[in-house]
Amino acid sequence: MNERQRIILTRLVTGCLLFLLTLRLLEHATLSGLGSPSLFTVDLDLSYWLFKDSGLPDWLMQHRAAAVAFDVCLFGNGVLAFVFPLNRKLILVFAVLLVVYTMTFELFATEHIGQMDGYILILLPFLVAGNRRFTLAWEGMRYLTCLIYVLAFLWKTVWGNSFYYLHQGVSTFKSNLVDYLSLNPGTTMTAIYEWFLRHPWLLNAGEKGVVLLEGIMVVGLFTKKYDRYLIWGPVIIHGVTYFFSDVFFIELLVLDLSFLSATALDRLTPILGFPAAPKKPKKASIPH
Amino acid sequence: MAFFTKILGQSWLGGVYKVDKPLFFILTLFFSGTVGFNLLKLQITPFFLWGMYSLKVPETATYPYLELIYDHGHVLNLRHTWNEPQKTYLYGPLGRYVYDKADASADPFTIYMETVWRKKHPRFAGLTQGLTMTQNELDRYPSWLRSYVSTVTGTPVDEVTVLQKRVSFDASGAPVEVSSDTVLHIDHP
Repeated sequence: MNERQRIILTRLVTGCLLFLLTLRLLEHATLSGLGSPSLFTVDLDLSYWLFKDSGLPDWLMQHRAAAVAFDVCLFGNGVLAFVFPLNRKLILVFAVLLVVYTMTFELFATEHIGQMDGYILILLPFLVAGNRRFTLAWEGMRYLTCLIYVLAFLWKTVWGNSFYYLHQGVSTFKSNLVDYLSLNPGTTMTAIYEWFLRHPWLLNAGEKGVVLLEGIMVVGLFTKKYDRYLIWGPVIIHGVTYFFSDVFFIELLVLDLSFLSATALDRLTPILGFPAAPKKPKKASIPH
Repeated sequence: MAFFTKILGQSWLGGVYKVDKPLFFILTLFFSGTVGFNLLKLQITPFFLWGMYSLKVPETATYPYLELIYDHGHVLNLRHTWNEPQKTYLYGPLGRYVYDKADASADPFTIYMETVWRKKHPRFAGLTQGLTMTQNELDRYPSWLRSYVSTVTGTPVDEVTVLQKRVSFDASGAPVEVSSDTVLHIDHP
């Protein structure tokens, strides 16, 4: 990967993160919009134990000015990282702020939300200096993305038992969409959902299809030949599970950007390829 | 052995080793940690577990959900895709509060910490005092909920009622309400 491609990739990733964070800001789901929540959970995650014991999340949540200042820093830094993509210090600060935001949100949402894990992971390769080393680290993100889906497949087939339960699709559907169906009678989506409930085998088969698709991502651990197809795996998995199980993992798709080829990045040059930093002006010649 | 060395040498990780040994060490540690913690079924951020929906969700006759009504009859309905973060933040703690029945000592994590963890690790017990919810924190929850509903709806909200409803599905796939119980009622003091 050359410098220009790295610039485009950094802008693509930080741009996606800023877009997702903006949606969260509008939905009162960034720190300044959360109020002063009182319930929390750390589970058995030692990182959350240390984070909670540090006092930082409580301090941020109990001081409105601090929460607002945090949001300003988060967005401001994200924008700066987008404009100056080769400045690794800006990316480091953005990554740290994202980790603090994610952990604070999850702490007070009282659950560890897998969809936000991408916020913590995605910027790590951009902290690596040098194009060759960055290329290798970014390639690692691609392998990690494949591994995540393979692990999800193993959880459902080897360490768990959901794959062997033939009614998993329809039971998950009913459990997760019961509120939507009850509160929104008469909508087109409800009519579609009810049609699926009259044909539960489709939901059950679809659920098995999604699990198998997670398993297929193992191919990516051994070859890059099929990347142009594998890139659609997570898109289909999260699209289908959102519409048919109300499991919202769309934000995790930032990791899917690791499947983009150098050619695809080159195509984005006209949109994202503007100079990373103003070039130093040449010494003006003094007219005699 | 030579075969594996050759394979590893030609791999991505082998490439990293040739270019940058510290990076190779970090990446190997990270990937091993990710796989290892999933095998141990223990999450320590950033080694995430990817076991969502790995246990079967049994089909039942009725399905519960929480319905939030504010200011005497307005039903809070977060139905759009972009409402998801808000929905998570609203219904996660609400479910927890309802499950604990507003009693801090009923919280499963608190029970585990008190009956198992702190007894096993008495030296570190002091460090874990702030990790379990207190009754005071649970008591503050209703007023936070009312204020967050005000933020979400964009209007000052005085009264919030939470119903736990149970629903079955008829042959056409339509939901049929089976029961409705008030699990929380908050009035502006």
